[in-house]
Amino acid sequence: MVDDDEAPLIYGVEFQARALCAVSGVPDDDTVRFLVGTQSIKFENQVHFLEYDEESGSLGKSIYAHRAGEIWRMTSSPNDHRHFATVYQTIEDTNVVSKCTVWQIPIDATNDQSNSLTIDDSSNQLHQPLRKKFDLNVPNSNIIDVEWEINGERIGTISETNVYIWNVEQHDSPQILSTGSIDSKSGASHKLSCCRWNPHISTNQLATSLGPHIRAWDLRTMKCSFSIDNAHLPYVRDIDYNPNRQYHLMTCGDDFRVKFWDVRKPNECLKILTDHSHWVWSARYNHFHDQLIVTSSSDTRVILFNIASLSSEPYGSLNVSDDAKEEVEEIVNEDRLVRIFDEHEESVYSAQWASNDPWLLASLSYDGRLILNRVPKNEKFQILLRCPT
Amino acid sequence: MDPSKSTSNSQANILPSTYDPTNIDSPGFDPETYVTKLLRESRLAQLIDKEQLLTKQIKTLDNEMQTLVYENYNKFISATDTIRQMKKDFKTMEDEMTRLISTMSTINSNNHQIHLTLDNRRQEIRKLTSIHVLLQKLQYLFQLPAKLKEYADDNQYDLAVNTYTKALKALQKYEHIPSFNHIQQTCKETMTNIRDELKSRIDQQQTSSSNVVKLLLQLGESSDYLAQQYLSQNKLRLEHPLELMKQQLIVVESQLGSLSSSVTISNVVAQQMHPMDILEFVDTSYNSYMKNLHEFVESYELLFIRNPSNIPSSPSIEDEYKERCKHYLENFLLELYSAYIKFIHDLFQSKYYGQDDDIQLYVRAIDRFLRRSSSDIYKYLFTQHALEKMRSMLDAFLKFAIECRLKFYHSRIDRHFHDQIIELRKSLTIIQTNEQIQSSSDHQPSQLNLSQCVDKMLKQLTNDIKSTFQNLSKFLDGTELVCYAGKKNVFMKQFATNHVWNGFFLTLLERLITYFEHEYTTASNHSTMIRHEQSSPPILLLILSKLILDFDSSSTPYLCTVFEEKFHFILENNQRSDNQKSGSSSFSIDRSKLIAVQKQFSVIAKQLLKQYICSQGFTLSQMLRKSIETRDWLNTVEPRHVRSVMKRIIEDLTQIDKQVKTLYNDQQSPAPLSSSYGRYYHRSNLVSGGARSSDGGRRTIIMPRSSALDRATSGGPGSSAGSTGNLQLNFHKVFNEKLDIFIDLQFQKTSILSSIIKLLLKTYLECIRLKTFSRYGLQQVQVDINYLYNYLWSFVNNDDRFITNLLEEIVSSTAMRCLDPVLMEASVITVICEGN
Repeated sequence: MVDDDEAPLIYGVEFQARALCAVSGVPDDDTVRFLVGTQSIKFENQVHFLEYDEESGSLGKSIYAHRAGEIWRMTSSPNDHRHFATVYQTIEDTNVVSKCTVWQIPIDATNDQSNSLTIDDSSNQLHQPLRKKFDLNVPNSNIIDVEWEINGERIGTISETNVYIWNVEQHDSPQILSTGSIDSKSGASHKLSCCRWNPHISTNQLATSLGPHIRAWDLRTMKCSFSIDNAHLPYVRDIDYNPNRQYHLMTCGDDFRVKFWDVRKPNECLKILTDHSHWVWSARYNHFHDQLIVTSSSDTRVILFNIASLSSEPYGSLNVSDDAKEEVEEIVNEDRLVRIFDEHEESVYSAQWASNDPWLLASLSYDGRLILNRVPKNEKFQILLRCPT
Repeated sequence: MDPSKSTSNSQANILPSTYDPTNIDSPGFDPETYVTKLLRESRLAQLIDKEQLLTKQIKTLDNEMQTLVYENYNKFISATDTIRQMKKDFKTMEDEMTRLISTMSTINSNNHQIHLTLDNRRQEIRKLTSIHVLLQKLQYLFQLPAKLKEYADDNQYDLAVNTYTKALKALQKYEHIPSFNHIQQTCKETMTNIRDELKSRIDQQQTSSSNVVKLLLQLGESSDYLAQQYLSQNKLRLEHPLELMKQQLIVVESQLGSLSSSVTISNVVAQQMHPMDILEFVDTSYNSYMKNLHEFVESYELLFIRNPSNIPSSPSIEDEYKERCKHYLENFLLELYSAYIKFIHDLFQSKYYGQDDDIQLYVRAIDRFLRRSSSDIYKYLFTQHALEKMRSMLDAFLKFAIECRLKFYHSRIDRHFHDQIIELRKSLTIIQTNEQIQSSSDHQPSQLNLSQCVDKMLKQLTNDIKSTFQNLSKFLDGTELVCYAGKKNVFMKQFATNHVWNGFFLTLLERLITYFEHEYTTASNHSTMIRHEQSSPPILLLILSKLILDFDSSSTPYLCTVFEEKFHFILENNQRSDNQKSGSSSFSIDRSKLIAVQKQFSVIAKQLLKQYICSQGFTLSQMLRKSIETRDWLNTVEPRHVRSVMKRIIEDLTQIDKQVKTLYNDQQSPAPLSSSYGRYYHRSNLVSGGARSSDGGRRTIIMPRSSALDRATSGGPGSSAGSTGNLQLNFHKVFNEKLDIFIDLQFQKTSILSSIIKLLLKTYLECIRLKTFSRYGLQQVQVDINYLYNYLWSFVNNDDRFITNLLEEIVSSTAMRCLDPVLMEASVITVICEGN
């Protein structure tokens, strides 16, 4: 049983792939959903819509054609599980152009008709194309990253030098609410590469990475609200806000490290993890238990950490009733590496937690291998025992 | 005659010579034989002659006999006459004697008579004399009060007290007689006056002479009070020298400051101002302070303990008093001693003396102090309790002194080490600037420096520790010191294990480790400032890692043997100690702690090496990354040259290779001899790339995997190549081990360089994957990759499988990211690569 539970679920995408995102849950539905976007220059790119049913342990898939280009990033709408945005590249006049579009999955995934279309992918049938909702493009600028606001009202996109905030409440005609641009001096040497929306302070903050630095924008004034210089040399690859602690931030980058920051003290980092042996491409907090952190790296490894010391959850012993528990708690108190998932053979560019299951995480390597892993049972029980609710 | 004849015969038979019967003079003479013989032998004439002769002889003999008889008779008659005369004389003598006796008896009787008559008178005279004496005494008593007052007025208290104590008994005896009582009262009054006077003196005066106390004691003052008073009043006086010494110490310290600050002071002046050394200081302070103290104790004992109390009291109470006095004294002594020991603590801790380099003096000073005080305390302390207290104080002092020394050595070694590192940093920056000036000419001097630096630092560090061991072993030479601490063995063992081994050696090693961890590795999980990461130049990291490694591998065992020699210890492993515990006579220390420390050392060395690799790999990667990112790969011309960045990378790698080679060799792994040959081996074999020969033969040209090309060329969505290509793409990975940059990193040149190269190529791969390429872009990458391939394998000692894999992966990835994947021909690639 234990083995069954802990064994990873592997799914293969036939092209190389970088983009992975968790799809926000539908109320009263336990199904875990992920989206994977492929990256291929020659072939028609695909978006795989994956549904994992925990009861049966089966993975349902729907494949849609993404004809616009190779997908670099994608993010799913927090309100509607059928909506998502992709950042993709196409070639126009011997130039690489990077664009962003919001798509809709054409028919409800549970519909029989879609199933009939997707079943026979082996017989070279075309996949159903995605339905385009709207573009989020600005003339003469390449979109690098896109991020949905936590309540779904706004979308932030970045180009190499600018930040754009879109109002998407009117589904047909998105409007740019505000733009911000980095000063020309730093823009000459570094480019924006990644953005994350702050879930706190009324979601009025967007953190972006600028080469080795972090720049956060106050969206009301479009001015810098904080900045961390030289967070990771030479590149910051990913940023994530702690979902529960307002000022805590996690970054990772090409110096093989994962760092934790308190944005009120940008000169001093709280903690450094050095377990990876190559660039760290993504680092994510678990939304339910923010001591759990998953990182993925081009050293082909995905690592799960338990960083209790920086967690919002109570730290230290809660119930002194049981002797056996106390022993366990002594172990729990330390920050540690929980597990290395080493099933990947290629660089892992993305690892994401499931949006509605606290113990499930997905990682996608460049060769198109998607792996669903679970938090080890011991760890899970320890956290649950300590959790007050 | 017959029997005699027979006997003479028989005798003649036996002894013919002496008892010759023919010899007329012999006792055995036999006339018959004689005659017969004569008759037989002599002729007649002869016989007649003989007869005549004989007759003559007989006649003379007869005459002689007659004269003899006559003479004797005359003598007898004269004797008889004499006796008769004597009888007459004795009778007169007897008469005279009887007359003497009678006169004697008359004399006797006369004498007796005279005696009787004189006796009465004599008794009378005797009585009169005694009365006279009594009267004299009484007079003395009556005069006593006045006399005492006089003495008191003249301040001759001791006389007064003496007279009083003399008279006291008589006064007490005749107390019941009123007049005497009165005298006693007045005397007492005077004496109380005196006593009060003395007491007030004692209370008021700062210093009270032992005399006054003695007098008061004689006056029966309570010894309790007096003893306490005496002690408390002498305390200040006794502590005075201590104060002086303290001031002196302060003066010395300040002098030290001024000496070090003002260099201008000439040597002569410095010599004059040169203060005592520590041994002298301890000696003099001990002398001045303790001598006073001991003199005082002497006097105290004389006063309170040995002196029999004058007040008649039961012996038990007296004993109790004495005990109490002793108790006071002890407490007092302890107090003073502890003050002194505190001072000595300060002394040993002081900047001037505590930092003195001369261990011999230091040890001797400690020894001197301990020896003297331990011999002294036995003299003056009485109870077990006080002794124990004192000993524990001295023990604590010993420990403290040793720890002071250890601290001193620690700081000294630390200082040396840090100085060296600073120096090293300086020289490194100089070297670097020199290198920049010299550019690529030759780096021989700087390379020599590297290994020399390591050797120098290692030597210095080892020597420092060794000399410290040597110095510390001096502690054991002071035999008295050892004797003091009880059993020699026990002390040696404790000293060696607690202080030298744990307190010094292991602590030092741990300090080194934490220093390295803190300063040079970012692996520590504490919050680190960002600036740390780039602060130390990579060469320094390399040197330090080598230093730690060498220290661990060569110096540590050497130091262990030094330690074993100096302290007669044996370092043991865990398992062995169980077996040998019973047998071995010398001490042993468990080695496990050391092993743990050594393990840490190798971990640190590895971390530093990693750091080095990261930082070198990082610099190279940066170069490569910039060159890829800044180029527009979609719009490039057909490649004609290897890009200059590749050449630059190879140059830098060569330099790193040289650098590392000076410190780390490959001697552990037997390098194939062909490597030197292989370096210049020209790969001219032209094989159209792709198929990787399974027999391990070296490929000559790196080409993308066929699968990648298939996928890239065979256009059309949904083509079967898509899925099979995927299969093939993944298939090769089954046979290639996963790339892990730091997996089994070893302290070898090859291992270090291959790690750096792995880092570099991995960066290359990742950068490529972020770009999109045109046909010429792909071809340019092909050229670059093959150029790299021609050089890289020589750095890693022919173990280039991973390089081939990675390069292949890079070209494959480029092909995949290429819009128009048309490969360059292998021969062209070779030509271009050769051309450079």
